[in-house]
Amino acid sequence: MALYELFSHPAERGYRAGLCSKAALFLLLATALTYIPPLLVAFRSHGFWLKRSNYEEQPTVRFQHQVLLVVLLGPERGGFLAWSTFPAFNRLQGDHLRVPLVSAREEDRNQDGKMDMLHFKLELPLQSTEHVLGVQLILTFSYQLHRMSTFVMQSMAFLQSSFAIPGSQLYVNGDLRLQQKQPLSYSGLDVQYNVSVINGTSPFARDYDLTHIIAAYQERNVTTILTDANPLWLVGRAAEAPFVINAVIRYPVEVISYLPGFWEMIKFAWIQYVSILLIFLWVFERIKRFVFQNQVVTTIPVTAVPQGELYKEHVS
Amino acid sequence: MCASRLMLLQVLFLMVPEGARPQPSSSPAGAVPTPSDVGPGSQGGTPQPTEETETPRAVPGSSTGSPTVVTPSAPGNRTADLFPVLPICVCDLTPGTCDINCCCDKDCYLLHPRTVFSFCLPGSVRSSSWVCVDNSLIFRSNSPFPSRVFMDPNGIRQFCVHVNNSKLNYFQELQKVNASNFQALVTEFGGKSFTSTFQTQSPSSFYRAGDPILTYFSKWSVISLLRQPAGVGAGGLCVENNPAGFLESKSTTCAHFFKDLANSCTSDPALNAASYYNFTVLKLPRGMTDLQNMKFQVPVTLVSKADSPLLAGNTCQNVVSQVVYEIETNGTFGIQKVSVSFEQTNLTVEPGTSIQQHFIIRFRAFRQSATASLPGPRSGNPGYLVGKPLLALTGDFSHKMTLLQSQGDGTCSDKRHEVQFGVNAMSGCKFRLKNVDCSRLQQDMYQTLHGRPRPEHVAIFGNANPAQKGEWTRILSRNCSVSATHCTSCCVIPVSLEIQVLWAYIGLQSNPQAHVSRARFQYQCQSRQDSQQVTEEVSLTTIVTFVDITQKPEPPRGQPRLDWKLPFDFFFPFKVAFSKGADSQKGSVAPILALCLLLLGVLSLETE
Repeated sequence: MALYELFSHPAERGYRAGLCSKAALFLLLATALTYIPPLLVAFRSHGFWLKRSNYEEQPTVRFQHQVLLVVLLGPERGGFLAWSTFPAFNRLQGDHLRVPLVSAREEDRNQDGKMDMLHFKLELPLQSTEHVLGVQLILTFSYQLHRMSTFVMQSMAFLQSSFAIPGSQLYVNGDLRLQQKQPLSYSGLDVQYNVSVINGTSPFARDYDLTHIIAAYQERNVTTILTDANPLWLVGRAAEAPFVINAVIRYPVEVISYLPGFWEMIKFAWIQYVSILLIFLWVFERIKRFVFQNQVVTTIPVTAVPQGELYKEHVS
Repeated sequence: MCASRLMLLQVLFLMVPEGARPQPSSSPAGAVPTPSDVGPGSQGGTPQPTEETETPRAVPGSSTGSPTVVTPSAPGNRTADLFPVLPICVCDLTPGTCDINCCCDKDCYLLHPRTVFSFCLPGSVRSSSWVCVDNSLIFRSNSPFPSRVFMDPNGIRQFCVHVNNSKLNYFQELQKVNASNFQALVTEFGGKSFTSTFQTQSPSSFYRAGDPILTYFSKWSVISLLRQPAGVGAGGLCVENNPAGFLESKSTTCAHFFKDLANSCTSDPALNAASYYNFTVLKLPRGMTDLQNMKFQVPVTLVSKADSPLLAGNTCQNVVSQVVYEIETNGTFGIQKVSVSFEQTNLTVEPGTSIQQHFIIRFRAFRQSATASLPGPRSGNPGYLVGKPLLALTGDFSHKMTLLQSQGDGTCSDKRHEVQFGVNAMSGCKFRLKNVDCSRLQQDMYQTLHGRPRPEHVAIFGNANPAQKGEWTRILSRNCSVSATHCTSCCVIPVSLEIQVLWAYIGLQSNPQAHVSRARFQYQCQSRQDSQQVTEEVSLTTIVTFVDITQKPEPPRGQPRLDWKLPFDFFFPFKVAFSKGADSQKGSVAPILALCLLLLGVLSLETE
């Protein structure tokens, strides 16, 4: 009957020497070489500390129902019409004020509780002598992120379009994208940009000046922009027809970069360090075994006592 | 040592990149004195067993390393082979004349074309594949393929080997194509291609939904299609020939621009009402076959008055601004009755006049003529649909909730904007105050804000019946409080109306129905001095807001899921893997099994 090796275990062997001996020095050196170089390798090969990371989230966006519209008329110079949802702005416009019919609807396509798109329509009544050559439109949104840090801001979509031929309709179909100049925090509440884009309570014209609004907005590190490379400009308006702005603005899932927290950073560093360390451990284990087995440094080998005793007892 | 060199050669062979192969026609400068060698160097592409390393005479004493095998070719002995090798001369395009750089053109009568031409056009000499390495690397070549040394344009000597490229020897057989396999070959090898748009169709026996409707002009014996002009393209101009689809009730709007209205007022058929009814409609498409039989034709009956355009002074009168076709159909028996009504307007003749025309086609079933007593179209059945009008009730009269609208100069228009369910909207206009007493003024302005008649009830569902009072809910209304006035001579006038509609989904989550829970009218007022007798303008605003008060269930709706106790997405990979399997029974066991395996693996590592 053939015999198989069913079980095995390694036998331990000790090597004794003084603390100030060559063997102790060697062991100290070997230990240092085992644990420190992996750290250097991991660190020098870059990316040891995870300084930035990304996550995906669909933002909670709501249209604030604030609109600021400037319509540039042609062909004679200086003609424009303006309207906004801010009474102070409207008071400032005087004869240039023309009240449009505005309708807006936000839609939650997948019923997940987050709005997915905004249908916005604006019909500006015009006289037959007025011809629209350009449009500037600001819509404001409240924008919230919840997954990592709670980030709340009030943002805007700015739309400017003009054409050489008088238009009858402007059709825009684009995404409201997040633009980050700096990463968000990994936790906590961030409300530094939870201030209105347009100061609607101010009676001063300067606060409704587009250059001022945009300059202040671009100062922010986190903004939203409306991406539609080519707004469609339809021409041929009948005398009695209004000028129509038709916009579909989608709120897509965003990839947001953030600063990882302490433990996330440590975790990724640890993974890198240990994976390199394992190789060093194996190599230095071999070296140590060779050195001690072949008595390169002088030591007194001893067989592990408790195991040997147990074995003997068992036999007898 | 020699053997190792040769090993090196073979390795180099494989390492030479494609780009290093010189074009056979543009033979390097070093090889110019022996031009005839390019052709015969590739006799049928068969590998030559003997070595044929060759030193160009331009570089005497070249260091090929094997002077014994140098076989300088005699220019004369192979030139006669050049023509037979290439029986097809692709660059010989002018018969009877020598084509420049065409080395195979027999009209040139050149024994050595390379001496005259700067290069040979590709295709005029047999193509061959050369693989080159730097000559200094080669000590001795024992390659079975023909080889030679070239001088490349940079003056570096290249050792080149002519490899046998079997792809070049593939011969294409002639394919037989006849009537039987023509289409099969087209479908097998052909992709999408341009197709002719011309289609011939035999008339079907009856109209299907969406089919164009045929008309017949008996005056000219011409068959045409019933047209519903529509605005298409960036211009939004009328496309006159847009056909109307059978059973597709639609309304279209488009604009007409006139360069010279005085001329086109009477001549443009688009402005003339007669052009919209001076034909008959074919009851069925198969009526095309028998056009004299009036049994298959339905005349277009005129419902409203329609005068032809008339140029009177500076105005063009009776211009068609709206056309409404009412068509009665009876299943596969086709069209039974067609009636048309018009709206007409007057246009001032001036440069750049334009008009917007509306075209409405309505289909209804035959003998369903009692439409007057029927309520208007539903806004949903039963739940409201987004974008459909919000129904209101005043007394027993059902109508639609509206907002005020401004016209071109910003003043209040008689036209009103229908409130669409679920769509928040805002509108405003300038109201000119008239010299009337306060109560009359208030009445006027309230009417401008809420429309006429004043809505009293709002329909709970989109299919509410005016006769059933239970299907309507009273609108909460809050007028301005008069007590706010301080002065006795003041008149409190309303300037804005906000319509707030609370709505919610009810019923099954899979098929929710939107219903209006309650609506509220909220007015805001201003007080004015009654003594102001000057006419001035007040801006009025109406707003409609829809608020969804549905109590939504917990986010993961649908099938009950496993309850993962650990926070966030600790078991994320397992979740994803097993949610696809959709078998919850397996899902609970398998991740644990996988974890156990993982643990076992870790433990076995420890014991080693």
